[in-house]
Parts: sequence; structure tokens; C-alpha cells
Amino acid sequence: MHPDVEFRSVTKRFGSYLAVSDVSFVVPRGSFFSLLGPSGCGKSTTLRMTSGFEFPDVGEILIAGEDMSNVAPYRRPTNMVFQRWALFPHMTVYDNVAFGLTVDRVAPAELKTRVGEALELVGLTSFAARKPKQLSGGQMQRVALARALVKRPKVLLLDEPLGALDLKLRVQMQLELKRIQREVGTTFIYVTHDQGEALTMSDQIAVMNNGRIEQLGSPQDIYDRPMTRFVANFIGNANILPVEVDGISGTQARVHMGSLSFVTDVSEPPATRKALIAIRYERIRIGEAARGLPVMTRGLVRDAIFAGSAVHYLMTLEANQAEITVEAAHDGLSQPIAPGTTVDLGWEPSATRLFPDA
Amino acid sequence: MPETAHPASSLKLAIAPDASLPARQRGAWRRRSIPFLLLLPTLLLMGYTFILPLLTFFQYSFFTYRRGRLVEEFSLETYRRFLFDGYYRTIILDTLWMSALVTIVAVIIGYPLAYALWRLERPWMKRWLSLIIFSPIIVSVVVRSYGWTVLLADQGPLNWMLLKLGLISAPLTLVFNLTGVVISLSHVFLPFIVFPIYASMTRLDPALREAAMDLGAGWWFTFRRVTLPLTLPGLVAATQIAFTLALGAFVTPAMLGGGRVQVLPLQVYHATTDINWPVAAVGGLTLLLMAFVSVALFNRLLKYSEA
Ligand SMILES: Nc1ncnc2c1ncn2[C@@H]1O[C@H](COP(=O)(O)OP(=O)(O)OP(=O)(O)O)[C@@H](O)[C@H]1O
Ligand SMILES: [Mg+2]
Repeated sequence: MHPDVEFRSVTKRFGSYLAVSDVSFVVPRGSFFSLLGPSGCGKSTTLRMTSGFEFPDVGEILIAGEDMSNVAPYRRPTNMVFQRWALFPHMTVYDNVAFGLTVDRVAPAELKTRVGEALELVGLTSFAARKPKQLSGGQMQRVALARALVKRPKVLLLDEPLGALDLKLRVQMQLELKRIQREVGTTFIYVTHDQGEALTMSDQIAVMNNGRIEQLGSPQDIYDRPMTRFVANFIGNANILPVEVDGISGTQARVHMGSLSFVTDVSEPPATRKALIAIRYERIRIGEAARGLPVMTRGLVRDAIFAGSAVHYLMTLEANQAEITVEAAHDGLSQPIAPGTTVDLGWEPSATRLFPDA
Repeated sequence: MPETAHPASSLKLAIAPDASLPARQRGAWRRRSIPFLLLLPTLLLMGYTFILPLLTFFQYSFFTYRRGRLVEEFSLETYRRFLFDGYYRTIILDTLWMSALVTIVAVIIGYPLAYALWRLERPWMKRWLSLIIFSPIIVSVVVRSYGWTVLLADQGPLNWMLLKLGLISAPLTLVFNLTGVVISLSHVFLPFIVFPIYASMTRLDPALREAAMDLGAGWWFTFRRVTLPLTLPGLVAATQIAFTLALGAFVTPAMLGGGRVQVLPLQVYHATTDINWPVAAVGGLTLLLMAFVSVALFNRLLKYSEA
């Protein structure tokens, strides 16, 4: 069985600007695949090449095993949910959803049932006669989704569909999108710059930066084992600290910073002695919880910031006077540690990742 | 007018210094009167050059003209002739017919031009095309009309080319008749057609056309179901402008009509040179009425297209 979408070394230039550079990936059938990255990194361009609005300069795009080099957008088995939804303002919700079926000359009876089903799927049956102007943002988003899904595409492309919604609605729509994806079993390619969104919904995430894919993997892979410094920095909150490398053996390395010598996992083997490690705020244990861990040191609490479910401590490491942030879960009972206190700190060797300093 | 709206305060203002009014009230009065003061020159000019002549015209329309003399007695005779006399009815219908033809031709040429202007990618091409579209109103109407008579003449370049290509066997009569007038008027109204339509196109969200294409629609389906309905307001506005301008056109029918295009403005002109004021007055009022009715009808259409 062919994967639904396959990119083979795809490159796209706008003039001399390299928007997408040598991108390859495979999206298995029925999966939820996210393109995650900062603004301008080429996510939309990648998606638009899949839908046929842009064509690659180099490389191939295959959909269900077929080369799309000479296939116009209106002939591709993909449908798109646009960033600002792009609903037809002069048509009712019903006509918007029916548009794609009218194009295909679907028989009236079938058209009616399919539009009805699509509207029911997104919970908008009672809004069929309204115009887009008379809908809320969340409802418009659902219309855009129904309009694309009613065509039963092999692949549904979504370009930051929740970007224009407020936070609460966004979280609610994330769950709903995931439910709908499970229900219809369609392959989703989802573009977002919101890591939370990508982490909660995706089966696979491709993290993009400057037109390249930096890392491709499951949400947990990407979060726990960032393979580049960019990924470590972009996803979640990580301290990036300078270290000196004493020796590398396979996936582990012995490093030291100041007087503290420890073992770390290697993401990218550095060529020089000077290198960087990344460690997530929440992977550092503090106080009692730090005792007995393979890597142990001490630090001075300079400030404690209460953030509801967690407390963020701004600290200075005793070993090299480096500034770090530690996130400790807040249990709702104990008092945060007072600034000025020196406490134990500790972590597992797998909590730190080694990168070149460049 | 402020004087009638606040007789007390304006009276006070006239007899006493400003200081006698509470400061706040004085400020409010000033704020309200400034727009009127700014409008005053325009209002005076409008009153003198538009309203007053209109009223005079209205008065004259009830007089009659007999054996070269104006009879200043109330009569509905001129109106009766305009309504029931075959001569005037033909002229009114011809005027409407010519305006409709001009509007249709101008829209048929203008809409695709607006579309092309919208779709052109290169800025310099856009600039040149807009200049070409704009050019007819830069050239004087007299020069332009002579130009057309040369171009469209029996021995002119157009007929010569058509003959050479073997498309026709005898020269076409393209000028000094309705054809010439329609060609020239459509030409000069082009910018009035193209730019409102173009403006409505630039207001279209480009994602809409992509969305239509993404849903499987080809160019024609997208145009018919998305682009055209959403640019209809611009099209209606353009039609309105062209039609009302055509109703009032005078120089072009006079120069290119060869006496065969007897539209109402020409009649009004002839009547004034004959000092037949009643016919000129009723003719003018008829033109005004036709313009009003067409504007109202198109507005109706616009509301319908937006619903
Ligand atoms: N039609 C175009 N012409 C020229 N440059 C373009 C065009 N489309 C995109 N670009 C450039 O290519 C780069 C990638 O654009 P793209 O829209 O793919 O970014 P993105 O990752 O979707 O960003 P965002 O999150 O802001 O939407 C940007 O620097 C953009 O300026
Ligand atoms: Mg984008």
C-alpha cells in the first residue's frame, strides 16, 4: 500500500529566496501529520505544493503513489481548510458545503445527504441557511472543515485553521478536529506554529526551520529527544548551557561545566571541545527530589515565579555560576522555596542533550 | 440652516457680543455652523446654477411655442406632445436604445479588460494598460471624434484592412450612423466601466478563487459562481455610470451621428437655438427623469445582487 503523501527532496524558490529546501517525508494513510515551525519557515509553501497551488522547482510529490508534477489543484485528491477559511461570502452555509459536490455534478439526492452528513459531523445542521457573515469564528471554521471533508479527499490539508480563534475555543476545536479525524479516517496534514497544538493532536510532527525539516518524529520523540538545538529551543522550555566535552562514546558523552562533570545524551556530536547542552525546565529536580540522582549539584534560588500548576525558579548554578530556570510542579499545599536559599539540584543523564556550539 | 434652527441664539449673536452667551453653548453653535459655512459657496453656486435654472425650466415647460413666439400661458401641450407624439416617442426610445447599446458594448469590452488588469502580474504592464484604458478621456472629444471619423470612414484604414483580408466585399458604413456613435461612446466610457469593476476585483480575497479551485472548480465555474457574483456591485455601478453618461451625450452623437442619430440632448440643443424654450425644458426634464429612473433601477439591482 502506498503512503498517502510522499515528498522526495522537494525544493521551492521564490526568485532567489529558498522557501523550501530539500524536504522529504512520508505521511502514512490515515495519520495526523503536522508541519510545525516559526513564521516564514515554509510550512504554508509545503502545504500549497501538496494542494497544487505551487509547484516544486526540484523533487517530486506523490499522492497515493502518483506523481503530481503535472496535476492541477482541481484534479488532486486533496482538499484544504484555509488559514482564514475563505468561505464564499455570497453563499449560505449549505451552498458553501455543497460547492465542491456541485462542481462534481453529484446527483441532487446524493448531494443533499452528503451535505447533511457533513453539516452534522461538524454540528452545524441548524445553521445551514445562514450566510458566513452571520457566524462566529468557530462556526466559520467548522463550515470550512465541512466544505473540505464533504468531498471525501484522500488528504485533508489544514493551514493554521485555528490561528484566528481565541485560546479556549482553540483548545475545544483541537479536540473536535481530533475526533473528526478519527471518525472519518482521512489523512490530515496540519500546519501550525503552535507547538501545543502539534503535540496534542499529531501522530507525526515535522519541525521546520528556514525551509528545512529539522526533525521528524512522534510528539514524544520530538519533545524528549530533540535532535537539533533549534528543536530543543523551539519546543518546550529548555536551558541552553555551555559545556566542555571530555569524551564521546556513541550516543553518550562525558562533559563538564565548571567543577561539575557528568554524562549526557548526544543529539549531534560536536566537532569542537566547546559545546552546548539543552535541558528542559521540568527535567531538573529540586530539593528532596534531587537526592540520589546520577547528576547532582547545588544552586542558589534568586527568584520564584508562581504560575499556577508550577513554580518557576530562576537559579544560579554553584558549579559555573550559569543562570538556569527550573520548573517544579506545584502541589497546592507547600510554599515555594524562598529566594536566597541554596538547594540541591539533580537530573538524569538522558535529560540533557549535547549539541555543537554554532 | 442655523438661523432657522436657533433663532434665539442667532439673534442674540447679532445684537450682543459673543461673551454674553455661556461658553459651552457658543462652542456648540460654532461647531454646528462651521460645516454650513464651509458648504455655503457650493450651496450658493448650486442654487444659482442648478436649482434656479431647474425651476425656470419647470416654469417654461408649461408654456407653448407658436409660430416662432413664446406663449406664456399655462398649458400641458408640450408634455402631451412628448408623451403621445410619435416623433418625440421615437427620439426618447432611440436615446434609450443608444444608451443601452453603448452600455452593453462598453461592459462587454470593459469587464474582460478589468479582469486582465486585475490578473496581470507585472506592475509595469498594469501601469501601461491602465494608461491605455484611461487615454480616451485625456484626448479632447472633438479630436477623438475626428479621429474616429477617419478610422471608420468608407476609405478608412479599418475598411481597407477588412477588404484586404477578404472578410467583406464592400466597405461597411461605420460612421455617420448609430454604429459610429456607439463605437466612439463605448471607447470614451471605458475608464468609467473598467475602474469600478477593477476596484471590486481587488477587494476580492484571493483565497476565494483558490478555495474554489481546491474544491475542483475550473476557471469557468470559478468565474461564474465566485468571481462574477462578488464583483457584481462594481459591474452595476459601472453600468449605472455608463448609462447615465450616454443619456446625456451630445458632442459625439452630433459629430459622428451624421444627423441619423436623433437623441434627446440633440433635440434640446436644437430647440434652444430655435429659442423654443418649452420643448427644450420638457426635453431636459425628460432626460433628468430618465437618469433618475435608471439610477433607481440599478440601485434596486445592486441591493438584489448583494442580498
Ligand atoms: N508567492 C511568494 N512570493 C515570494 N515569496 C514568497 C511567496 N510565498 C511565500 N514566500 C516566502 O517564502 C517563505 C515561506 O513562506 P510560507 O508562507 O511557507 O511561510 P509559513 O511557514 O507558512 O509562515 P507563517 O507561519 O507566517 O504562515 C517566506 O519567507 C515568504 O516570504
Ligand atoms: Mg503560513
